[in-house]
Amino acid sequence: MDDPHADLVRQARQGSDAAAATLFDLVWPDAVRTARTVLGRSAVAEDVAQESIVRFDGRRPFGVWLRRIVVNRSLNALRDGRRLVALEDGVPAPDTPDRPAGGALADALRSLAPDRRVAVALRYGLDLTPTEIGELIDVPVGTVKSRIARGLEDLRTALEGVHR
Amino acid sequence: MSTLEQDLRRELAQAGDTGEPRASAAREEALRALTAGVRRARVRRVASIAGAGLSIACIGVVLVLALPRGAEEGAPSGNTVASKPFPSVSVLDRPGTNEDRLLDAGDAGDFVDLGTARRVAATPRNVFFAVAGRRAGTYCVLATRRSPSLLGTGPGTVIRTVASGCAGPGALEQLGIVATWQVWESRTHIGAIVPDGVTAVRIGTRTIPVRGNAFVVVWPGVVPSRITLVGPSAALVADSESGHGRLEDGTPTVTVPFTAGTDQSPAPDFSAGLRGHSIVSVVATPSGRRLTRAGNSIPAAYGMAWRVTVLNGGDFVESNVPVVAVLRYPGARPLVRRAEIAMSEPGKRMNIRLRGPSSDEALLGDRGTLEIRVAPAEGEQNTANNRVVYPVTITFG
Repeated sequence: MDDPHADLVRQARQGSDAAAATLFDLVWPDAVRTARTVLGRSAVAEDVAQESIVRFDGRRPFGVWLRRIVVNRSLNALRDGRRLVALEDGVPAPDTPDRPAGGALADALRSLAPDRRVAVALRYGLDLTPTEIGELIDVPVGTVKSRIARGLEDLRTALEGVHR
Repeated sequence: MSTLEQDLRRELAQAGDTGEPRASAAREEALRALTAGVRRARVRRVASIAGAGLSIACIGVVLVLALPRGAEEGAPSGNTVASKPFPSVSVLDRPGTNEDRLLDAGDAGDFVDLGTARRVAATPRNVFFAVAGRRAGTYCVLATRRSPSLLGTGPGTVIRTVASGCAGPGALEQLGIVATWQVWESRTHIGAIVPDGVTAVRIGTRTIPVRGNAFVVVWPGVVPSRITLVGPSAALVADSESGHGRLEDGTPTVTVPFTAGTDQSPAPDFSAGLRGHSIVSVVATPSGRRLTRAGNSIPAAYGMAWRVTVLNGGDFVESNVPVVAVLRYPGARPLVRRAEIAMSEPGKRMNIRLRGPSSDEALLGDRGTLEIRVAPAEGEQNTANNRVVYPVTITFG
């Protein structure tokens, strides 16, 4: 597969800060958007994007590699997050924009099992096909479809009375 | 398409909307790492503070230790103090595992795992506040950060201590509590151990639940001087000379000083000797241009920062020394950045990194001034070298 970022990566590796900055500008928004779509929390999403990007070794097609890493790290963050009880201290995260949390649907999304949440988020948030999602998270397409279907069912159950 | 699917698309589109590009610590860090990484990683984080935890245990004073970062090639040696926010803090609400142990936290020999009951908190940024102590009756709090090794520079992750504090025997019985905190961008991250029986603490108007004798909280602004313990034992209430009361449901409370690392070690004697810092140099990064008083043209860049090198020219260890950078343009509100020298040793240089202006904060092409100030130590005799002012013009390219 042709890497659209190959030239920039090469220039950056040769010492061009400008190329590195341009490369960064190209990939950072998608990395953050992907993480935010899955995680729904700005500050954590940026952390995930950052932690993903620092692992790039310059040897693989950047864009595809980065999205895969971001999704996987987001999934890990979701799983880890289940063990954490937020203090809800009212102190906004430094980079969290002033935006409503999203109401019942956002709550329902947050309540989904991580695997299903990722599948639903990638399908409806990034408009990826089940095949693309399967390639991204390395599971069979049938499994992706199953997770999406069950995720939607879970959402309907959670939103019972809201969506009929 | 069902209503649910339509709503999902709308909701997820909103969640994923990154809006206009904004400067953030994560973004700056990522850009820096990418720049270094694709060029085969010449940035290497410096291991820091082995032994510092032991020192803290001995002197019993809370020290905010630097998270070293950005020690670039050619930079003067020494610790670099990061100015970086936490997104949030949570309390660990599950049984602990071996992964929670502080493998390389500070001076590992001085701290042992006390078990889940006294372990607190992980955060989304992989920061631990953990509680440990070696001798019976001693209590310590460590703030640690799990740092990914940068591209190809080392295996796995490295756990570093970024703050710690300990209390000597008897401190808790005397209603003292031990705390440690780290300040990033006007938010203070406080971790503390409290006596048995305390179910929550109140700081200002906020109530923070306590599990396992410990809590962690993000606090906006200055560390408070007093804290109210909810549910202390009758003995603690009886021992308190003032400030005890009850909640509406009858739960006893006692308000105590928010002491940091209370121990019985004597305070250092500053009466003989020199104290204080001098500013050695200021370098704009990532351009690497050392600022001069004659004038400075600095190319705008993501992650722009001021790397301030200071020298502790005194005879004493100094800690918690504020450093301020003020960028001024005529007719515009000054842009102020703050950082802190967590600890500096006599005769040693160290770097402090202060965030520079973002692209929408800098008045590109306009001539302004950058003032750097290092707060003088008490009794510091020569303060003329604690402040420098440089003409600066931030430009494209």
